[in-house]
Amino acid sequence: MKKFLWIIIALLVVAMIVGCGQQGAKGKKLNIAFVYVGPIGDAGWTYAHNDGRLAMEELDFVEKTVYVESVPEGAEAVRPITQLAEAGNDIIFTTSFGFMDPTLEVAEKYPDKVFMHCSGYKTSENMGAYFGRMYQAKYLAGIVAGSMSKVGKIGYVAPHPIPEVIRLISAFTLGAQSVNPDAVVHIVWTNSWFDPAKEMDAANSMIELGCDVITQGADSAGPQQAAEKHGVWSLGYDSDMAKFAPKVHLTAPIWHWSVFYNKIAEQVYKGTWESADDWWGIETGLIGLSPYNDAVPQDVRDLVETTKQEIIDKEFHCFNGPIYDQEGTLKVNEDEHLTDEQMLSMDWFVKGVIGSIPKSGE
Amino acid sequence: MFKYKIQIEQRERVSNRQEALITFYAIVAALTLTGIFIALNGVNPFIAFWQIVRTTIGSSYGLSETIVKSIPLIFTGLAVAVALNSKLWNIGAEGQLYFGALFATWFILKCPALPRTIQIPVLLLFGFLGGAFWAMIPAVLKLKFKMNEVISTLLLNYVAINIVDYFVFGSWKGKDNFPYTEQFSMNNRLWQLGFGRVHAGLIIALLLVVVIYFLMKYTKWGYKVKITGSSLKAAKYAGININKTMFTVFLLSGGIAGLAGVTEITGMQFKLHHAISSQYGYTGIIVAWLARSNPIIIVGFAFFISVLLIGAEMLQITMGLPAAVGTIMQSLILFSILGSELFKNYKIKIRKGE
Repeated sequence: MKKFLWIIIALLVVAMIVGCGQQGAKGKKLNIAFVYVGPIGDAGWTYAHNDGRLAMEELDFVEKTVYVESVPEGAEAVRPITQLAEAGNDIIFTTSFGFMDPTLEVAEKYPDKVFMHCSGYKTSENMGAYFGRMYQAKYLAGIVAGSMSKVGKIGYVAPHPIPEVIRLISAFTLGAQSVNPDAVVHIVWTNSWFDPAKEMDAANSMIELGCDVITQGADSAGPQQAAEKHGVWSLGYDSDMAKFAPKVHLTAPIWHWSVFYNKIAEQVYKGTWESADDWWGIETGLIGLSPYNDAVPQDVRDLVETTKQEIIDKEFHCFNGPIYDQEGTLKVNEDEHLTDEQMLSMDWFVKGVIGSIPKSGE
Repeated sequence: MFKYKIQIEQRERVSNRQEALITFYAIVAALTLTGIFIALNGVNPFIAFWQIVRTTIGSSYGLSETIVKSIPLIFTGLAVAVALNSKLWNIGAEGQLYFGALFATWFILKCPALPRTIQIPVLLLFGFLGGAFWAMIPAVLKLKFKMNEVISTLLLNYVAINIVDYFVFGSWKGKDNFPYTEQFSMNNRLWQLGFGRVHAGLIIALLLVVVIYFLMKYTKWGYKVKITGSSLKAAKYAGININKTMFTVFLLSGGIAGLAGVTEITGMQFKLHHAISSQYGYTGIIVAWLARSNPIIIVGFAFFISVLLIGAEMLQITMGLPAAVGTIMQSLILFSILGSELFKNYKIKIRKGE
């Protein structure tokens, strides 16, 4: 027994020496850190960001990248962000809306480091905000869904009722209606970004309701698996989800974060970075559609391609008027489109969305 | 046929020393299993454990954060322990925590501007009432309809969180349309103690520990609770009103969990939202069980679990281990502790057979 104890003590001493020896001098190369809201294996949102992180590791001016996953939103997030700043990271990306205030709080304490927050709106001297115009890809996905649906009823598994999600659902619906004016989109809120079981249940209930295409704004592949099981078409989100529903997955609006992350890393490395509120569109390649299912006909693909080109050429805006809300009130006049401001604070659904947004009290 | 046979014999009684030893071995077993998991990830487990210590109690920031995280765990541990004293399982501390926060937030939104010295005690009261209210439902279900409290308290957790969601996604939503309330003003925040983010919730928690300790040990009510817990028949024979005792135990347990919610939102989060608790209600069960429901020992184990949780989070940064390490460690500890019950109540003997 005593011998055993000595071995443990000896091992601890060795561990201590090795552990302390790890803090070495830093080179000029960048250390980059990520704070994720979900696990990197979520197959969706966090997975896509993590792909972007891995791509950055290939850059020759990047020394190392680290991440903390499944971080709770709110004040709890202050700790991992602080620890990452303390650990000597030069850029810290936080990738969920609930990290906005914690990121701002830590950014104030580390003015020589760059903080980048995804999907919020607050910025400071050393904290930038960034996001992509995903509504453009959602509109294109809507074209595919609207063309493939026979009954014109599409089920949409929706996470949180916030402007971002509301905007994407509306854009998707307008896309579907551009090829089938009578198309409707049913939504079920899950109030969670990542809850495979709940999301699968939501999809199942909408399939029972008669929806013959399923899509999602939530991050897990649960809805895809439900669609595969019932043999209805599906569209993924965040990253290519075809492997979860090989037969029915039509395409997915996806993020190519490396396009953006590499750019930011380069700017910081060269010292040209400045705090901004970036909202990149489809022309940058940050967003797009994943490869099509063979079942998607050529004329649909062509339509998507021309629409995409029109968006890039600014000949077409996804939220072009006339647009009516669910009550039938005209919200956007003909010859007008929603401004960025209006899109970012969107709290109403377009006509054809079946489901409601919890209203605030005022 | 067999050379040896294993016999399981019931133990007469277990000394405190034996009980402590069994807990110790269970923790060692759990950490060993976690170590194996860490090794399978290609990391030296000894270095990993050293990193856990170094990044929590080994740095002043880590230490302050560890203390901050142990505050809600002391409350929820106490909540579960109070119920366990009369052999009631309160798996619902999570939901009661949310309800405490909900009641307190309701008051903050209705009446935000009382002086801090009045406002804070009122908020604590509302938090206590919120938790107690949510615990009353399973209490009534159990006492009136004999419904198992393990199931009712557990399921009501989901209901409670959904009710909080209903408000923060709806009428309590802040101006920026994000699902949380506006930040609370200064007079709705607990005092900071000047060490990292450590707030006055710590003092409240420690005071409560002393109060509960004396309540259980030196009052008639505490005695009644213990008798009810050890034998219903004996309690009945002694003329104790079992239903009344159990009812008050439930309310007290829920109220304490409610205090976890109100101190968390007024001391740390400064707003109400969906994710105010990192499973504190469930982790409280582990804390209470490890401490064998002893209020004073709960403080130690709340801190210990907090070290593991924050240390595991840091392992992601320092060693690139997945977040699952923390969850696995927690589950293994609970698993080993529950498994060790066998050894507490029974002796295992290996004898030569004929």
